[in-house]
Amino acid sequence: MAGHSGLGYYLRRVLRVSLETGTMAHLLHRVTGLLIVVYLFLHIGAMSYTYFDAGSGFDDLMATFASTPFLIVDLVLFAGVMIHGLNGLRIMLFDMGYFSRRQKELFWVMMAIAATSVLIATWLVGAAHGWW
Amino acid sequence: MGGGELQQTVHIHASKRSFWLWFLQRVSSVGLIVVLLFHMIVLHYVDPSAEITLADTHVRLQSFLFIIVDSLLLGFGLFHGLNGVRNVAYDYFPKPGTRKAISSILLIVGVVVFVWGAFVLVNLVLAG
Ligand code: HEM
Repeated sequence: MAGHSGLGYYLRRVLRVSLETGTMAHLLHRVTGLLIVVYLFLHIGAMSYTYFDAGSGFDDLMATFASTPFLIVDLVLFAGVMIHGLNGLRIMLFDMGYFSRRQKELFWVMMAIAATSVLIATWLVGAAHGWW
Repeated sequence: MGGGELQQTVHIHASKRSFWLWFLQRVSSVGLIVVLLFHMIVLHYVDPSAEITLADTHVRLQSFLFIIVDSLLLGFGLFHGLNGVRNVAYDYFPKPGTRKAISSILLIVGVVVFVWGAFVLVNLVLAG
């Protein structure tokens, strides 16, 4: 348990929530999960375009999606998927009894992997689209 | 949370259904790791500069592998995502009547979007 002083304690009092790693992980899992659901519906919607327009409409749409603002959104989505997926894997591992004494450490290992993969993806996308 | 303190998750399932939904959430998670990785790597990672076109998509979908992966992606994604939304909603709406309404709406949305997505997929396979 964190102490009864300091910034963490103050924030917990103000927000009336626990800022323990477990709560944060749970919240992060929830927010990223919902974000991906929204994306899934948009994605199915965009693919549906082909149903109505077999001409160049779809290709024009895909070209729009290859522009910088959309690529940035893609990278945010990728970060969400990595965070959610790796944290989901962590949840399933300790459901099965693995790492139950090391949940917090495993969370940070997973987040480090997620951060690294997002950095690599950003570098690759940037290189492919002339950002650097 | 003291160091080394044991924190084991204990799942108490009110019904057989809640167990199966919990279990299928896990099955779809593992499924999604496989098909989502495949999807993202093949479409975006192998060549990040490639622009996706209708013609390429049509050609890709002549392969059985892509038809299977895309179908599983649609099914697992919708089940997992909407069952996830149900889990979130249950945390905020304790009344059984409200919960039932939420579950029914999510089920209908899931089935409709699945059928719609399947139509689009078949359309992409056939017509391009
Ligand atoms: C990379 C593969 C994925 C893995 C390993 C994964 C894993 C998990 C796990 C284990 C849970 C249950 C958490 C719990 O019971 O406490 C979960 C919940 C959830 N997932 Fe996923 N997931 C993945 C992809 C997705 C996708 C693609 C979506 C969206 C379509 C999604 C949306 C959700 C939502 C909304 C929840 C509910 C969150 C909550 O209850 O707070 N997940 N995920």
